[in-house]
Amino acid sequence: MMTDHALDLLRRHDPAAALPAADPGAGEELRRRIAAARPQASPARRGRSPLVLVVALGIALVVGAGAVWAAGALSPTALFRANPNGEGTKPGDLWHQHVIPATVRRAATIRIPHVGAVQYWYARTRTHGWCGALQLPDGVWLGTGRNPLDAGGTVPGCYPTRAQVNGQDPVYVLNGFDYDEDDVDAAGQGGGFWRIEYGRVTVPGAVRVTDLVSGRTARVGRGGTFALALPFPDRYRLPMRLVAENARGKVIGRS
Amino acid sequence: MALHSIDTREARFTRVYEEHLETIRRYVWRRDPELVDDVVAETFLVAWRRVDDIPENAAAWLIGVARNVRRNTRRSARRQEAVSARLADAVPPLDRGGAPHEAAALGEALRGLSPRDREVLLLAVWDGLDRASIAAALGCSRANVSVRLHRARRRLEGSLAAPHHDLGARIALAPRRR
Repeated sequence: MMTDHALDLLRRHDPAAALPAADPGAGEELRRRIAAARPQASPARRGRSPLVLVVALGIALVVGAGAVWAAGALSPTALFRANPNGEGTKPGDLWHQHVIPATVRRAATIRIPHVGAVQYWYARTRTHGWCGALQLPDGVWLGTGRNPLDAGGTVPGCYPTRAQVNGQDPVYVLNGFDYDEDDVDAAGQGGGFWRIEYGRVTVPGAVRVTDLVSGRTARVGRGGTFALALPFPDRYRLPMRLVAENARGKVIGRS
Repeated sequence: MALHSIDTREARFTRVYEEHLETIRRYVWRRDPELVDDVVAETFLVAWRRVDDIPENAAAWLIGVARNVRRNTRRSARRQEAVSARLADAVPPLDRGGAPHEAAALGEALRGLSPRDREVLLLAVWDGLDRASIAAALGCSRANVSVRLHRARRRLEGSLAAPHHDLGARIALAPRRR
Protein backbone atom coordinates (compact mmCIF):
# COMPACT_ATOMS: atom_id res chain seq x y z
CA MET A 1 0.00 0.00 0.00
CA MET A 2 2.94 2.25 0.67
CA THR A 3 3.85 1.86 -2.99
CA ASP A 4 0.46 3.25 -3.93
CA HIS A 5 1.27 6.30 -1.86
CA ALA A 6 4.71 6.67 -3.42
CA LEU A 7 3.34 6.42 -6.95
CA ASP A 8 0.51 8.77 -6.12
CA LEU A 9 3.08 11.24 -4.83
CA LEU A 10 5.05 10.86 -8.02
CA ARG A 11 1.96 11.50 -10.14
CA ARG A 12 1.13 14.61 -8.13
CA HIS A 13 4.56 16.00 -8.92
CA ASP A 14 4.43 15.41 -12.66
CA PRO A 15 6.30 18.43 -14.09
CA ALA A 16 4.07 18.38 -17.17
CA ALA A 17 0.81 18.39 -15.27
CA ALA A 18 0.36 22.12 -15.69
CA LEU A 19 2.05 22.40 -19.07
CA PRO A 20 -0.35 24.10 -21.49
CA ALA A 21 -0.89 22.48 -24.87
CA ALA A 22 1.35 23.67 -27.68
CA ASP A 23 0.15 26.69 -29.60
CA PRO A 24 -1.72 25.22 -32.61
CA GLY A 25 -0.22 27.75 -35.01
CA ALA A 26 3.32 27.05 -33.86
CA GLY A 27 2.70 23.32 -33.99
CA GLU A 28 1.44 23.50 -37.55
CA GLU A 29 4.35 25.69 -38.57
CA LEU A 30 6.80 23.16 -37.17
CA ARG A 31 5.02 20.33 -38.99
CA ARG A 32 5.19 22.25 -42.27
CA ARG A 33 8.89 22.99 -41.84
CA ILE A 34 9.68 19.36 -41.10
CA ALA A 35 7.57 18.02 -43.96
CA ALA A 36 9.28 20.44 -46.32
CA ALA A 37 12.55 18.56 -45.73
CA ARG A 38 13.26 15.95 -48.36
CA PRO A 39 12.40 12.51 -46.98
CA GLN A 40 14.77 9.59 -47.40
CA ALA A 41 14.21 7.10 -50.16
CA SER A 42 11.83 4.27 -49.48
CA PRO A 43 13.50 1.77 -47.14
CA ALA A 44 12.21 -1.18 -49.14
CA ARG A 45 15.69 -2.44 -49.96
CA ARG A 46 17.25 -1.97 -46.59
CA GLY A 47 16.59 -3.95 -43.47
CA ARG A 48 14.28 -2.84 -40.75
CA SER A 49 16.01 -0.76 -38.16
CA PRO A 50 16.97 -2.37 -34.87
CA LEU A 51 14.72 0.08 -33.10
CA VAL A 52 11.77 -1.10 -35.11
CA LEU A 53 12.65 -4.69 -34.38
CA VAL A 54 12.75 -3.84 -30.72
CA VAL A 55 9.38 -2.12 -30.93
CA ALA A 56 7.89 -5.10 -32.72
CA LEU A 57 9.43 -7.34 -30.14
CA GLY A 58 7.98 -5.31 -27.32
CA ILE A 59 4.52 -5.57 -28.78
CA ALA A 60 4.76 -9.25 -29.55
CA LEU A 61 6.22 -10.40 -26.26
CA VAL A 62 4.21 -12.74 -24.14
CA VAL A 63 4.51 -12.46 -20.39
CA GLY A 64 6.73 -15.28 -19.35
CA ALA A 65 8.91 -13.99 -16.53
CA GLY A 66 9.18 -16.37 -13.69
CA ALA A 67 10.56 -19.75 -14.57
CA VAL A 68 14.18 -18.91 -15.09
CA TRP A 69 14.30 -16.52 -12.16
CA ALA A 70 14.03 -19.54 -9.96
CA ALA A 71 17.36 -20.64 -11.32
CA GLY A 72 19.36 -18.39 -9.03
CA ALA A 73 22.35 -20.70 -8.78
CA LEU A 74 22.68 -22.00 -12.33
CA SER A 75 26.11 -22.56 -13.84
CA PRO A 76 27.32 -19.72 -16.07
CA THR A 77 26.65 -21.67 -19.25
CA ALA A 78 23.22 -22.78 -18.05
CA LEU A 79 22.38 -19.21 -17.06
CA PHE A 80 23.33 -17.84 -20.46
CA ARG A 81 21.45 -20.64 -22.17
CA ALA A 82 18.38 -19.82 -20.12
CA ASN A 83 18.97 -16.13 -20.90
CA PRO A 84 16.62 -14.48 -18.38
CA ASN A 85 17.18 -11.12 -20.06
CA GLY A 86 15.66 -12.38 -23.28
CA GLU A 87 12.75 -14.16 -21.71
CA GLY A 88 9.61 -13.99 -23.82
CA THR A 89 11.44 -13.22 -27.05
CA LYS A 90 10.91 -15.24 -30.21
CA PRO A 91 13.40 -16.72 -32.68
CA GLY A 92 14.54 -14.01 -35.03
CA ASP A 93 14.01 -11.21 -32.53
CA LEU A 94 16.96 -8.99 -31.85
CA TRP A 95 16.90 -9.90 -28.18
CA HIS A 96 16.55 -13.62 -28.83
CA GLN A 97 20.27 -14.31 -28.38
CA HIS A 98 21.96 -17.72 -28.19
CA VAL A 99 25.16 -18.11 -26.25
CA ILE A 100 28.15 -19.85 -27.83
CA PRO A 101 28.99 -22.23 -24.96
CA ALA A 102 32.68 -22.48 -25.90
CA THR A 103 33.08 -18.74 -25.31
CA VAL A 104 31.80 -18.73 -21.73
CA ARG A 105 34.58 -17.55 -19.45
CA ARG A 106 35.22 -15.71 -16.23
CA ALA A 107 36.26 -12.26 -17.34
CA ALA A 108 37.04 -10.67 -13.99
CA THR A 109 36.83 -11.14 -10.25
CA ILE A 110 36.04 -8.23 -7.96
CA ARG A 111 36.54 -8.31 -4.21
CA ILE A 112 33.99 -6.37 -2.20
CA PRO A 113 34.43 -5.95 1.56
CA HIS A 114 31.92 -7.94 3.61
CA VAL A 115 30.72 -9.65 0.45
CA GLY A 116 33.70 -11.51 -0.97
CA ALA A 117 34.61 -12.32 -4.54
CA VAL A 118 32.08 -11.36 -7.18
CA GLN A 119 32.75 -12.94 -10.54
CA TYR A 120 31.98 -11.38 -13.87
CA TRP A 121 31.13 -14.02 -16.49
CA TYR A 122 31.13 -13.23 -20.16
CA ALA A 123 30.35 -14.98 -23.43
CA ARG A 124 29.61 -14.20 -27.04
CA THR A 125 26.43 -15.09 -28.90
CA ARG A 126 25.79 -16.61 -32.30
CA THR A 127 24.38 -13.36 -33.60
CA HIS A 128 27.38 -11.26 -32.50
CA GLY A 129 25.84 -10.12 -29.25
CA TRP A 130 27.27 -10.78 -25.82
CA CYS A 131 26.30 -12.27 -22.49
CA GLY A 132 27.14 -10.87 -19.09
CA ALA A 133 26.37 -11.78 -15.50
CA LEU A 134 27.72 -11.18 -12.00
CA GLN A 135 27.89 -14.09 -9.60
CA LEU A 136 27.94 -13.67 -5.82
CA PRO A 137 30.17 -15.90 -3.66
CA ASP A 138 27.28 -18.26 -2.90
CA GLY A 139 26.70 -18.84 -6.61
CA VAL A 140 23.57 -16.69 -6.90
CA TRP A 141 23.39 -14.32 -9.86
CA LEU A 142 22.93 -10.61 -9.30
CA GLY A 143 19.86 -9.15 -10.93
CA THR A 144 17.68 -12.14 -10.16
CA GLY A 145 16.51 -10.96 -6.76
CA ARG A 146 17.57 -14.23 -5.15
CA ASN A 147 19.95 -12.85 -2.55
CA PRO A 148 19.52 -10.11 0.09
CA LEU A 149 22.71 -8.52 -1.26
CA ASP A 150 21.05 -8.05 -4.63
CA ALA A 151 19.96 -4.40 -4.73
CA GLY A 152 18.74 -4.38 -8.31
CA GLY A 153 20.12 -3.75 -11.73
CA THR A 154 20.33 -5.45 -15.08
CA VAL A 155 18.83 -8.90 -15.40
CA PRO A 156 21.62 -11.32 -16.36
CA GLY A 157 21.70 -12.96 -19.75
CA CYS A 158 22.56 -12.23 -23.35
CA TYR A 159 22.05 -9.00 -25.23
CA PRO A 160 22.50 -7.52 -28.66
CA THR A 161 25.32 -5.03 -28.78
CA ARG A 162 24.61 -1.34 -28.39
CA ALA A 163 25.45 -0.94 -32.04
CA GLN A 164 22.98 -3.65 -33.02
CA VAL A 165 20.23 -1.90 -31.11
CA ASN A 166 20.97 1.67 -32.10
CA GLY A 167 23.57 1.50 -34.87
CA GLN A 168 21.22 2.62 -37.61
CA ASP A 169 19.69 5.35 -35.55
CA PRO A 170 20.56 8.80 -36.88
CA VAL A 171 21.57 10.00 -33.45
CA TYR A 172 23.46 6.93 -32.24
CA VAL A 173 26.67 8.02 -30.54
CA LEU A 174 29.82 5.94 -30.56
CA ASN A 175 31.33 6.30 -27.09
CA GLY A 176 33.45 3.18 -26.84
CA PHE A 177 31.36 1.49 -24.16
CA ASP A 178 28.73 -1.24 -24.03
CA TYR A 179 27.99 -2.06 -20.41
CA ASP A 180 25.45 -2.79 -17.72
CA GLU A 181 25.28 -2.40 -13.98
CA ASP A 182 24.06 -4.14 -10.85
CA ASP A 183 23.91 -2.94 -7.26
CA VAL A 184 25.12 -4.75 -4.14
CA ASP A 185 23.83 -3.67 -0.75
CA ALA A 186 26.05 -5.14 1.96
CA ALA A 187 24.75 -2.96 4.78
CA GLY A 188 23.11 -5.98 6.36
CA GLN A 189 26.55 -7.61 6.64
CA GLY A 190 28.33 -4.54 7.98
CA GLY A 191 29.44 -3.36 4.56
CA GLY A 192 28.41 -0.63 2.18
CA PHE A 193 26.49 -0.01 -1.00
CA TRP A 194 28.27 -0.82 -4.25
CA ARG A 195 27.46 -0.48 -7.90
CA ILE A 196 29.25 -2.80 -10.28
CA GLU A 197 29.70 -1.61 -13.86
CA TYR A 198 30.48 -4.47 -16.21
CA GLY A 199 30.58 -5.04 -19.92
CA ARG A 200 32.88 -4.30 -22.81
CA VAL A 201 35.01 -1.46 -24.03
CA THR A 202 34.47 -1.43 -27.76
CA VAL A 203 37.11 1.09 -28.75
CA PRO A 204 40.37 -0.65 -29.79
CA GLY A 205 43.46 -0.20 -27.66
CA ALA A 206 41.80 0.32 -24.28
CA VAL A 207 43.76 -1.11 -21.36
CA ARG A 208 42.02 0.50 -18.43
CA VAL A 209 38.64 1.85 -17.37
CA THR A 210 38.59 4.66 -14.82
CA ASP A 211 35.73 6.26 -12.94
CA LEU A 212 36.62 9.94 -12.91
CA VAL A 213 34.50 10.61 -9.84
CA SER A 214 35.97 8.00 -7.49
CA GLY A 215 39.31 7.51 -9.24
CA ARG A 216 38.82 3.74 -9.20
CA THR A 217 40.15 1.76 -12.12
CA ALA A 218 39.73 -1.68 -13.64
CA ARG A 219 41.87 -3.50 -16.14
CA VAL A 220 40.43 -4.12 -19.58
CA GLY A 221 40.72 -7.82 -20.35
CA ARG A 222 40.49 -9.99 -23.43
CA GLY A 223 37.75 -8.94 -25.76
CA GLY A 224 37.51 -5.53 -24.08
CA THR A 225 35.79 -6.92 -20.98
CA PHE A 226 35.88 -5.04 -17.71
CA ALA A 227 34.15 -4.95 -14.34
CA LEU A 228 34.49 -2.08 -11.92
CA ALA A 229 32.96 -1.88 -8.45
CA LEU A 230 32.20 1.61 -7.18
CA PRO A 231 31.43 2.28 -3.51
CA PHE A 232 28.73 4.77 -2.70
CA PRO A 233 28.60 5.95 0.92
CA ASP A 234 25.20 7.44 0.16
CA ARG A 235 23.14 5.07 -1.94
CA TYR A 236 20.90 7.93 -2.91
CA ARG A 237 23.71 9.78 -4.67
CA LEU A 238 25.46 7.78 -7.32
CA PRO A 239 27.65 10.03 -9.44
CA MET A 240 30.05 8.23 -11.79
CA ARG A 241 31.78 8.87 -15.08
CA LEU A 242 33.65 6.12 -16.87
CA VAL A 243 36.44 6.69 -19.35
CA ALA A 244 38.55 4.17 -21.25
CA GLU A 245 42.27 4.85 -21.52
CA ASN A 246 44.94 3.41 -23.75
CA ALA A 247 48.40 2.30 -22.63
CA ARG A 248 49.69 5.87 -22.76
CA GLY A 249 46.94 7.11 -20.49
CA LYS A 250 45.04 8.85 -23.24
CA VAL A 251 41.26 8.85 -22.91
CA ILE A 252 39.83 7.08 -25.94
CA GLY A 253 36.26 6.39 -24.81
CA ARG A 254 33.69 8.06 -22.56
CA SER A 255 30.60 6.39 -21.19
CA MET B 1 3.03 6.93 -58.34
CA ALA B 2 5.89 8.79 -56.74
CA LEU B 3 3.67 11.74 -56.04
CA HIS B 4 1.05 9.45 -54.55
CA SER B 5 3.71 7.85 -52.38
CA ILE B 6 4.91 11.20 -51.09
CA ASP B 7 1.33 12.25 -50.38
CA THR B 8 0.71 9.03 -48.47
CA ARG B 9 3.86 9.41 -46.46
CA GLU B 10 3.10 13.01 -45.63
CA ALA B 11 -0.41 12.05 -44.59
CA ARG B 12 0.96 9.36 -42.35
CA PHE B 13 3.53 11.69 -40.87
CA THR B 14 0.88 14.33 -40.25
CA ARG B 15 -1.31 11.82 -38.48
CA VAL B 16 1.57 10.65 -36.28
CA TYR B 17 2.62 14.23 -35.61
CA GLU B 18 -0.83 15.39 -34.62
CA GLU B 19 -1.51 12.35 -32.47
CA HIS B 20 1.79 12.37 -30.61
CA LEU B 21 3.13 15.92 -30.55
CA GLU B 22 1.83 16.50 -27.03
CA THR B 23 3.08 13.10 -25.83
CA ILE B 24 6.61 13.82 -26.98
CA ARG B 25 6.51 17.43 -25.86
CA ARG B 26 5.49 16.38 -22.38
CA TYR B 27 8.01 13.54 -22.33
CA VAL B 28 10.84 16.00 -23.02
CA TRP B 29 9.45 18.72 -20.78
CA ARG B 30 9.45 16.34 -17.82
CA ARG B 31 13.16 15.66 -18.26
CA ASP B 32 14.84 18.49 -20.12
CA PRO B 33 12.49 21.50 -20.18
CA GLU B 34 15.22 23.76 -21.52
CA LEU B 35 15.66 21.47 -24.55
CA VAL B 36 12.02 20.86 -25.34
CA ASP B 37 11.78 22.81 -28.60
CA ASP B 38 15.00 21.42 -30.06
CA VAL B 39 14.38 17.82 -29.04
CA VAL B 40 10.76 17.80 -30.22
CA ALA B 41 11.73 19.25 -33.60
CA GLU B 42 14.62 16.84 -34.04
CA THR B 43 12.49 13.86 -33.00
CA PHE B 44 9.81 14.58 -35.57
CA LEU B 45 12.42 15.31 -38.20
CA VAL B 46 13.74 11.78 -37.62
CA ALA B 47 10.15 10.53 -37.79
CA TRP B 48 9.62 12.26 -41.12
CA ARG B 49 12.82 10.85 -42.57
CA ARG B 50 11.90 7.38 -41.37
CA VAL B 51 8.15 7.56 -41.71
CA ASP B 52 8.07 4.10 -43.31
CA ASP B 53 9.75 2.66 -40.23
CA ILE B 54 7.23 3.99 -37.74
CA PRO B 55 5.37 1.03 -36.24
CA GLU B 56 1.80 0.91 -35.03
CA ASN B 57 2.98 1.69 -31.52
CA ALA B 58 4.24 5.08 -32.66
CA ALA B 59 4.35 6.63 -29.19
CA ALA B 60 6.92 4.14 -27.92
CA TRP B 61 8.96 4.47 -31.09
CA LEU B 62 8.92 8.27 -30.90
CA ILE B 63 9.88 8.26 -27.24
CA GLY B 64 12.77 5.97 -28.13
CA VAL B 65 13.92 8.47 -30.75
CA ALA B 66 13.40 11.43 -28.41
CA ARG B 67 15.40 9.64 -25.77
CA ASN B 68 18.30 9.19 -28.18
CA VAL B 69 18.08 12.82 -29.24
CA ARG B 70 18.19 13.90 -25.60
CA ARG B 71 21.15 11.69 -24.87
CA ASN B 72 22.96 12.93 -27.92
CA THR B 73 22.37 16.50 -26.85
CA ARG B 74 23.54 15.71 -23.36
CA ARG B 75 26.67 13.98 -24.58
CA SER B 76 27.55 17.02 -26.63
CA ALA B 77 26.94 19.15 -23.58
CA ARG B 78 29.13 16.90 -21.48
CA ARG B 79 32.13 18.12 -23.37
CA GLN B 80 31.60 21.43 -21.68
CA GLU B 81 33.00 21.28 -18.19
CA ALA B 82 30.51 23.77 -16.81
CA VAL B 83 27.50 21.59 -17.41
CA SER B 84 28.98 18.13 -17.06
CA ALA B 85 28.62 17.90 -13.30
CA ARG B 86 24.99 18.91 -13.41
CA LEU B 87 24.18 16.35 -16.07
CA ALA B 88 25.95 13.53 -14.28
CA ASP B 89 23.40 13.43 -11.50
CA ALA B 90 20.39 14.66 -13.39
CA VAL B 91 16.97 14.10 -11.90
CA PRO B 92 13.86 15.41 -13.63
CA PRO B 93 12.68 18.77 -12.30
CA LEU B 94 9.62 18.13 -10.18
CA ASP B 95 6.39 20.03 -10.36
CA ARG B 96 6.53 22.96 -7.94
CA GLY B 97 2.80 22.87 -7.37
CA GLY B 98 2.84 20.44 -4.46
CA ALA B 99 4.13 20.92 -0.96
CA PRO B 100 7.85 21.86 -1.04
CA HIS B 101 8.86 19.20 1.46
CA GLU B 102 7.17 16.58 -0.69
CA ALA B 103 9.07 17.64 -3.78
CA ALA B 104 12.33 17.64 -1.84
CA ALA B 105 11.79 14.17 -0.47
CA LEU B 106 10.63 12.83 -3.79
CA GLY B 107 13.61 14.34 -5.59
CA GLU B 108 15.92 12.72 -3.08
CA ALA B 109 14.16 9.39 -3.51
CA LEU B 110 14.40 9.59 -7.29
CA ARG B 111 18.10 10.38 -7.06
CA GLY B 112 18.45 7.16 -5.12
CA LEU B 113 17.31 5.09 -8.06
CA SER B 114 19.73 4.01 -10.73
CA PRO B 115 19.23 6.03 -13.93
CA ARG B 116 17.78 2.99 -15.66
CA ASP B 117 15.36 2.14 -12.89
CA ARG B 118 14.33 5.77 -12.66
CA GLU B 119 13.70 5.94 -16.37
CA VAL B 120 11.52 2.84 -16.37
CA LEU B 121 9.52 4.14 -13.43
CA LEU B 122 8.93 7.57 -14.92
CA LEU B 123 7.98 6.19 -18.32
CA ALA B 124 5.34 4.10 -16.57
CA VAL B 125 4.02 6.69 -14.11
CA TRP B 126 4.43 9.99 -15.91
CA ASP B 127 4.30 8.98 -19.56
CA GLY B 128 1.77 6.22 -19.06
CA LEU B 129 3.57 3.58 -21.13
CA ASP B 130 2.83 -0.08 -20.56
CA ARG B 131 5.67 -2.55 -20.13
CA ALA B 132 5.81 -3.60 -23.76
CA SER B 133 6.03 0.03 -24.83
CA ILE B 134 8.73 0.79 -22.27
CA ALA B 135 10.71 -2.18 -23.56
CA ALA B 136 10.31 -0.84 -27.08
CA ALA B 137 11.32 2.69 -26.11
CA LEU B 138 14.37 1.60 -24.15
CA GLY B 139 15.46 -1.24 -26.39
CA CYS B 140 15.34 -3.95 -23.78
CA SER B 141 13.23 -7.00 -23.07
CA ARG B 142 9.86 -6.87 -21.38
CA ALA B 143 11.14 -9.18 -18.66
CA ASN B 144 13.88 -6.67 -17.95
CA VAL B 145 11.34 -3.87 -17.71
CA SER B 146 9.20 -5.88 -15.32
CA VAL B 147 12.07 -6.48 -12.94
CA ARG B 148 13.34 -2.92 -13.13
CA LEU B 149 9.88 -1.52 -12.55
CA HIS B 150 9.29 -3.75 -9.58
CA ARG B 151 12.61 -2.78 -8.03
CA ALA B 152 12.22 0.89 -8.77
CA ARG B 153 8.87 0.95 -7.02
CA ARG B 154 10.26 -0.96 -4.09
CA ARG B 155 13.25 1.34 -3.78
CA LEU B 156 11.17 4.47 -4.12
CA GLU B 157 8.94 3.24 -1.35
CA GLY B 158 11.96 2.29 0.74
CA SER B 159 13.76 5.58 0.36
CA LEU B 160 10.66 7.62 1.15
CA ALA B 161 10.32 5.60 4.32
CA ALA B 162 14.04 5.64 5.20
CA PRO B 163 14.60 6.80 8.80
CA HIS B 164 17.46 9.13 7.87
CA HIS B 165 15.20 10.96 5.46
CA ASP B 166 13.20 13.06 7.85
CA LEU B 167 11.13 14.65 5.14
CA GLY B 168 10.54 11.33 3.45
CA ALA B 169 9.57 9.71 6.69
CA ARG B 170 6.99 12.37 7.33
CA ILE B 171 5.52 11.83 3.92
CA ALA B 172 5.48 8.07 4.19
CA LEU B 173 3.69 8.26 7.51
CA ALA B 174 1.17 10.83 6.34
CA PRO B 175 -2.38 9.62 5.67
CA ARG B 176 -2.80 8.41 2.13
CA ARG B 177 -4.90 10.53 -0.13
CA ARG B 178 -8.18 8.91 -1.09
